[in-house]
Amino acid sequence: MFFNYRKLALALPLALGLGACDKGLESLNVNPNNPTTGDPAYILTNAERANIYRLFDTPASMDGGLLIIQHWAKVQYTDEDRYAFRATSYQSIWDGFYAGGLQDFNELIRQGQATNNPNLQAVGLIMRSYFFSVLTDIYGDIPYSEALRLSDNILTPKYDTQEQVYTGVIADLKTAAGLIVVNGAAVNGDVLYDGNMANWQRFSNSLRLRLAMRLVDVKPDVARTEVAALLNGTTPVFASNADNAEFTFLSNTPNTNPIYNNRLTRDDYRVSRTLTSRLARLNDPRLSIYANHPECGDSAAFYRGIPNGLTNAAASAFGQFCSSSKVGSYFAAAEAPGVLMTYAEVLFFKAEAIARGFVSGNAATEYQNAIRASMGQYGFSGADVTTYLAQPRVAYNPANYKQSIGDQKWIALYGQGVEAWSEWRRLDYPQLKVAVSPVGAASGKIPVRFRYPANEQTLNTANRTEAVTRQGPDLLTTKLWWDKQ
Amino acid sequence: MKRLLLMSFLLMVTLLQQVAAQNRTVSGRVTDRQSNEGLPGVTVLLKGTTNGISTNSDGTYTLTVPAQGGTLVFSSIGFVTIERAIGTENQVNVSLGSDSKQLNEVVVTALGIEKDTRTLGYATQEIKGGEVAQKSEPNVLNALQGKVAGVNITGASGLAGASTNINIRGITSLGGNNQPLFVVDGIPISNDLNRTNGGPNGTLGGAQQSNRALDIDPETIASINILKGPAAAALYGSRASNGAIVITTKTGASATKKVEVTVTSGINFQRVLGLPDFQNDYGQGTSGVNTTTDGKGDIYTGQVTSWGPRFGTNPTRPNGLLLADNSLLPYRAYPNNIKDFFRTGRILTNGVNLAGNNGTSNFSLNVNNTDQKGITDESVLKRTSVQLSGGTTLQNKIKINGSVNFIQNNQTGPLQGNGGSAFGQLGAVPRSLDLEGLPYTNATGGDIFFVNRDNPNWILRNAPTSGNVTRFISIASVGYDFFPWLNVQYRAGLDSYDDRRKQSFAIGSTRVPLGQVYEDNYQYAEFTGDLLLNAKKDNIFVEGLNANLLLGQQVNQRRRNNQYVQANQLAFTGLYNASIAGNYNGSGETSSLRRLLGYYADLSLAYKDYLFLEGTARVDQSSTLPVKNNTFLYPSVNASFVFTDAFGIDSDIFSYGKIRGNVARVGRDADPYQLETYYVSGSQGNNVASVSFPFNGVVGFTPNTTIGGGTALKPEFTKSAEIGTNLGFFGNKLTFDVTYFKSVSSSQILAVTTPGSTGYLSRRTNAGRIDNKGWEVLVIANPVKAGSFSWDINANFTRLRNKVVEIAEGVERSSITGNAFTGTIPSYAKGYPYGVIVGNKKPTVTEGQYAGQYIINPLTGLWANELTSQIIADPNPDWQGGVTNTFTYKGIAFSFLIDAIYGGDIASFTQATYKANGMLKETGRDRELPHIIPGVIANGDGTYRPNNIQIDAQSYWSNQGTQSDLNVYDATHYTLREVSLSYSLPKALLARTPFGGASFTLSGRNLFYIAPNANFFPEVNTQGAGNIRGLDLQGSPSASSYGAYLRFTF
Repeated sequence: MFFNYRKLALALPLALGLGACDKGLESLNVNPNNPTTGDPAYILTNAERANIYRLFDTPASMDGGLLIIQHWAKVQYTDEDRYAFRATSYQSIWDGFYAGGLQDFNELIRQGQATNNPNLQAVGLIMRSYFFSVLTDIYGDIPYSEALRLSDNILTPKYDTQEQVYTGVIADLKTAAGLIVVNGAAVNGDVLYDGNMANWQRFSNSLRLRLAMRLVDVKPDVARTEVAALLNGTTPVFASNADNAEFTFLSNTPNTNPIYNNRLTRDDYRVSRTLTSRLARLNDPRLSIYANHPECGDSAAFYRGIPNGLTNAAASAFGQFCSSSKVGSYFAAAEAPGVLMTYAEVLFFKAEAIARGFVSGNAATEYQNAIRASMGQYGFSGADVTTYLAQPRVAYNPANYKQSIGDQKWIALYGQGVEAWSEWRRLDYPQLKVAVSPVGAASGKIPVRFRYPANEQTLNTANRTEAVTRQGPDLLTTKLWWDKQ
Repeated sequence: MKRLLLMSFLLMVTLLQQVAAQNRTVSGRVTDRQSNEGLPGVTVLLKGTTNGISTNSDGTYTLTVPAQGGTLVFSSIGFVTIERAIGTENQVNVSLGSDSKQLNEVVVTALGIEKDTRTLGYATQEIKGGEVAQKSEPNVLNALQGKVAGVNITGASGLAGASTNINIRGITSLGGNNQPLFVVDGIPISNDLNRTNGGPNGTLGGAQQSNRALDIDPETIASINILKGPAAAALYGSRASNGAIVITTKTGASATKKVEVTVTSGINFQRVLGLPDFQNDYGQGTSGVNTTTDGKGDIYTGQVTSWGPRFGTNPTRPNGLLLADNSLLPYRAYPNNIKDFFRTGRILTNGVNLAGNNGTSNFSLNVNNTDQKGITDESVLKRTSVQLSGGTTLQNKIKINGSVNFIQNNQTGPLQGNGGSAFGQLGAVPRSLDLEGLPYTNATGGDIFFVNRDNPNWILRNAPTSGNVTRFISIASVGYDFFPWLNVQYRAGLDSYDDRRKQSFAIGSTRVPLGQVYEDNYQYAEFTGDLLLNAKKDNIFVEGLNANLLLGQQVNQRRRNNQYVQANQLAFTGLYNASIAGNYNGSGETSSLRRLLGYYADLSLAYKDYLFLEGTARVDQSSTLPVKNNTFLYPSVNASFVFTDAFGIDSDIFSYGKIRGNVARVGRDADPYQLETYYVSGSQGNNVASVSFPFNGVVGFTPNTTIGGGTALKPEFTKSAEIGTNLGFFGNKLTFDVTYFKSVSSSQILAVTTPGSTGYLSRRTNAGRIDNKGWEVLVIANPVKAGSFSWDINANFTRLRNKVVEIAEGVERSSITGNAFTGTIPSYAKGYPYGVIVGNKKPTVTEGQYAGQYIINPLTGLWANELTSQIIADPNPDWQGGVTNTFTYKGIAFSFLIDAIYGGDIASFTQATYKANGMLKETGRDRELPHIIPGVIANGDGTYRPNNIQIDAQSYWSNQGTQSDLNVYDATHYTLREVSLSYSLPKALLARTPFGGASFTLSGRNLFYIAPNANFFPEVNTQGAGNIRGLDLQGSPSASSYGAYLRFTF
């Protein structure tokens, strides 16, 4: 009998032992492989470099803006040069900037607020505004106010009008400039200006100048007010080429410029004939920087560009690949900079603002200063500049300021494909001819936007449909809101 | 926690003492009534007590009983139980009659519980160890092929140690693991396939690593029981929603003598199987011309394709056969150039098994070694397994068992995939190239081949992947009958392995010109502890109603670590050491830990041994789910009714009939670390160029593009229902086992795509539903039994239907993770079976008179531009079946297994390449005649006219599209899977020798096949075991083997 009880008693230690196993199950699910909180310095470094890389990478720039604006042309795999852009490009630009860029900058703004660092908030706001403006200039109406809010359970953000986006980013830039305390809290991990907040202030205002000027045809009053405030002489904007917003890549892989990386294994791009012939006609010294001499053939002393939009067959019939001008070594170098905005642009805007009567001044002088600044970027000064400016073809024509500014800005913005494309759409100069053999989807015209990516149609159907109804068909030819005429 | 348990054991052991009372001994012998031989292992129990013993190997027993005697109960599975009162005798002999009328078979079910098959309400199938051993096959999963209904088994290729995918009753998880749970002697073990992804080739270019079930040597297996559905495996919990493979190893318990020694030795040879037929009429060149640079005749400056001049053509300058210096280009066919790239493989197997059983204690020592050289160089498998197990019943009736299995497994294999692999480059070997005869390496160690390509022989030997696995599977269990009706058992097991891999790329290889060493180390440890309480009571409430209640608790913990070092830019040729490199980008580590607690109960009721009802319930608590959802309950119910016994039906024709049915629900937890949104190291770019961090020494992090599941994540659930019947005719000489099942898996844990504008590309949530249903039929017949001759047939048939019913809102299709090949994308699509391949399709007319015909481009005479993103292949077969015929006559046994896999598609990039390069036999037929693609040309007004545009053969064959539907083949094939002829020497002959038994077996595997719609053996899967199937991406072909075995027992 005792025996029996003794046996039962043995069960107790077992039962007790078992209860101890289920404590702390949730603590086991803490990921040891990845951090759950990010140091803002690391986030900023990645966000800046990755997104600038993306801006100059193949889908948006090399196979996009630069071809449309006829700075570059393709000599192999010429589909994009004929406006046959890939669905994967539309998708990767969209997904890349939203999930890989804007999300990061939002996080930085949040962290800046949490740690009471107004400078960090400002940097986040400025970069976020920059890339939102890039997205809207490419696609048109885009999600803005409801975007990036998955944690608020917004699974299908609505598309704001381009007007709402511009209003929003211009307001953000104003806020950002106001937040900046020049020698205040440090911003670590900044690989663009290395934490120099004075530069950021200038960049914020210069960017606002660009975006305000985009509105001249649709909201001239807003444009006038903003521009007048920005160019009143006291608001800090870029004052020299030293203030340019550009990111310097490094000479060793994997830190090199995307164009350099592309040239390591591919050789599809050449300078466009549109560019070489125009610059040759203008005796523009920048041509020697923008393009390389051909490596073989009888025109080795000149610059031989390729017409845009040849079929693959026509392009190979053009001659050996070495007989046409490759893009200038300055741009294809490992350390070539990724340029976000330049002093020359500010001066061009100033000239245009004067011409439109927003501010007072001498448009011709500012125009010449702008050209001088652009030349200065590539090391041209003094006699080179004055000779160039003296030519009648280069002279400022107050009767058609759009043509003068448009033609010269197109040259100055070489390499900044997306921005050059936006300004050409706005100013409608220089006058470009459509590609030689465009695909049917382009309807015989130079594209004025990219199409919405495919998965927006399946995953965000209602909102996308609403945007398309409002903006116009989702085609390459539908003009954007600020692109009047 | 563990310490407490250990202390409890010690407490138990020390507290228990044998209480002596006045006793006497009773002894006797138990014999088989039919043969009069002694029966070992019969349980002799003093009725109403726990006092019992097992008979010795000769059937004798001795039992201590109280002075007043009692009743002895003699029972053994397969025999009718007998009770005999002791009275005053001291000698009680009985003979037991076999229970042959009933289909009695004991199988090991979930948690190691033995059950009689007649009581089971769900489908299982048992394969004896003898059916998988000595079959020329080191991987036990391959040896199961064609034998089990409801199971789909595909080997990746014929390389040594290549993995094998096994799936029971269809795919149930869209994103997770669909392999069944592997259990060895009661504890779950890992069947992971760890992929080494070094180099620029990702999962595609990996070598064929093995799945860890390969570590179990078939010679150590006593039986395998396949538990097919959630009902069968409900007691295993969340890991068994895809069924379970329960392996019982050979222990001493089944031995019949004090010491028994078995020695096995075998040698097998392997040959490559399934190479397509090649043409041997035309050699290197293009458009009928062989052009080498400057006409110098260096074939490696010419084409990789075989569109050159016909052999025997008059050599001229224009056709390239007459060289610039007026000599002739050596130009003839080498019909076996690709076949000779492969060599004859050789598998040596040797093993010794010592086992003994003296009635109270048993032990077993299994030592086995497999040494395989595969069908190519650098394909090697060396496996050594030492298993020591033992069990004893202590004086105080405590039963303890333990086993330790040490396995060392070394595997080396070459890369697969296109580009940088030897198999990929075989497509660049013209028919006139003497691949084996020409040198493949030069004086400095570089390779000699076409520019930007590696010679297959060079890359085979200069980019190997080797792995070294050391594994321990240790199990210990303690059991005690507290009361006659209450048994308590605790079983603990630890499965741990260490897998050290090294993948090297030589300097000068095309894909990694600067060379690379990739060290990839995995450590895995899984601990499982089960506490089982079993109570049984006969005649509960009602006479004839027996009940059995099992209560249990389980603790399971899995820990996994992985460290990888990618040493880029090697400094020295031939020295593959990770210390000597230029940089280490791509190095890192990951680890994961998860714990699962389970509580379960199983109530079985048996009424008069013909009506059975069982209900189970299990509650799991997992560390991988959010706290408020981490506990989930799932039940199952099964019932079976042996109506022949119930209604007393017993005729000569119809001898046994049972119907059974069950419903079950199984939950499943998530993988670890799915709940949080975390940061990852930044990167940006594409396959041409990209950026990564650290950048100039600065690290960069970005929020992951997948937002975590948060606190809302719930477990996945699979609900299933099954009905079946077992019928026996002619005294059970012909039996049928038919099952129909249906299962629905929903609430899957998935990363669902979100619009990019939300800031994330995907979110982890519960979504999706996938349905499975099917038929399984097993027929066993013994048509002829005359004297010593017997003919047995064992046939099985499976028909499964799988459908992805829904994925997530707005998502029609999603790609399966793990694919690294663009163009043909394994995916799952709404409304289709799982695993369809998405690729390009040549457009056809959709309606009207010419519906179904190819649309031809009038400018080129070729197919119009391919439509992208089309579903082109479905790898799921329509049905599968296998028939094994066995003929035995005295000591001779001859058996052969033919299996059929009907339907299913395979997309073959390998064949596409061979075709486009003019290597296949069909490309040589009528090559000089014009070809017209059967199709129609659009007239522009919506009508069509038949195509009449002539094109040359090369254009026809090289424009079929390497990722198009023209290179998808119907994978139907019938294979002579196994053949075996064995001869066991008669006992009379051996009586004067020290041998107790000797047998000699000749066996062969995959000796012959018929694939009506594919010109190669379509049973390959280059990406290895996993959810991706139906892709032949320039991996190794399969292999056939044949050989001989000897087995001696002492």
